[in-house]
Amino acid sequence: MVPPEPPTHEDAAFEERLRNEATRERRAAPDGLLERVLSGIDAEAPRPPAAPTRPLRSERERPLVVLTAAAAAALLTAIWVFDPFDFIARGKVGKGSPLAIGAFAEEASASVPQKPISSAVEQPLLRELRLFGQDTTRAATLLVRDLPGPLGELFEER
Amino acid sequence: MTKTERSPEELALEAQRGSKAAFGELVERLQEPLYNFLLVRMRNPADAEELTQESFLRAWSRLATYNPTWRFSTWLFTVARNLAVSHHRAARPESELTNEQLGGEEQDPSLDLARTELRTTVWTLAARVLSAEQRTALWLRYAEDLAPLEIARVLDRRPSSVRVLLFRARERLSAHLSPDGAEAGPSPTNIPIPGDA
Repeated sequence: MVPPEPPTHEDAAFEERLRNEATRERRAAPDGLLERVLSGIDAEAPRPPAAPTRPLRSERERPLVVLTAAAAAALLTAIWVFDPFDFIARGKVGKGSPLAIGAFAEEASASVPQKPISSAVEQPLLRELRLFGQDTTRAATLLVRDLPGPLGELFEER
Repeated sequence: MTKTERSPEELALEAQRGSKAAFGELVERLQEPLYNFLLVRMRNPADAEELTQESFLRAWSRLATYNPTWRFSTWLFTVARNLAVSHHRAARPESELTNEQLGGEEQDPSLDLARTELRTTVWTLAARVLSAEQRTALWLRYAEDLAPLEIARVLDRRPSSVRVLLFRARERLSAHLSPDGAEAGPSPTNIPIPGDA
């Protein structure tokens, strides 16, 4: 393949001519094209948006959505109150404290044999847990987004 | 920012979310460039009109695949070019088939018509002597001001291949033009048609 030669003065003049004559060559779009395209769009099946916000399927679903959202909110509140992450970090919760559930978890984990977990098991497990967490978050967001009112608007896609 | 100031890419993003109004504005803005692009490629106003309409409908149905890092017009030209290629394959006119097979280096039988005109624009000449791909590349470069990288995307080629395509198209056009800019007679490579002096 022969590589293009460097542009010369004649080339530049010819390129300018191509540009100028292209401007004169342009024709107007056919009449009614816009209307025909828009009516074609209306006629075809509705295209799903790129990132759909799932609408409520029926009124019967609404109570279920509200209940699920309430359960999710309760779970989030529980996590916030008991703060298991903080507990894990400190590991100093007494049996009699309101955070006894943490102590129970500590005891339970102590009873598990301290055999090292194979990385062949640990890595996939961690990956699955991470994916599960992401899926849960995504599902919760979609759920809340469907709620009518300010909460739904808060999570609305931007 | 008012509605009219939005870029095609912003409108496309809005259309991706399902806005028909935004897509309508895109059609309004791009119908003329797209029609002219297809007219240069197809050389037939009826085909160009049909494919313009079809391209917009195809673009709407595949809008989710548009990547906003590219100009929307580049993506639209790509959609239109692919449709034009399919149209050529379906129709398979004899002259166009030869044109594609030989990469635009063949004798064009319509040159006899060209010889009857004393002066012509480079674009009318391009319609007669260049292949569809050469015409398309040339139009995108000089009428739509697309960079070789963008043309490469539309034509599904490498940028270096587009530069060569453009170079050869210009060279071929120049060879058919006399020094005063008028269309020259048949070049030595063109076999004169008997009785057509």
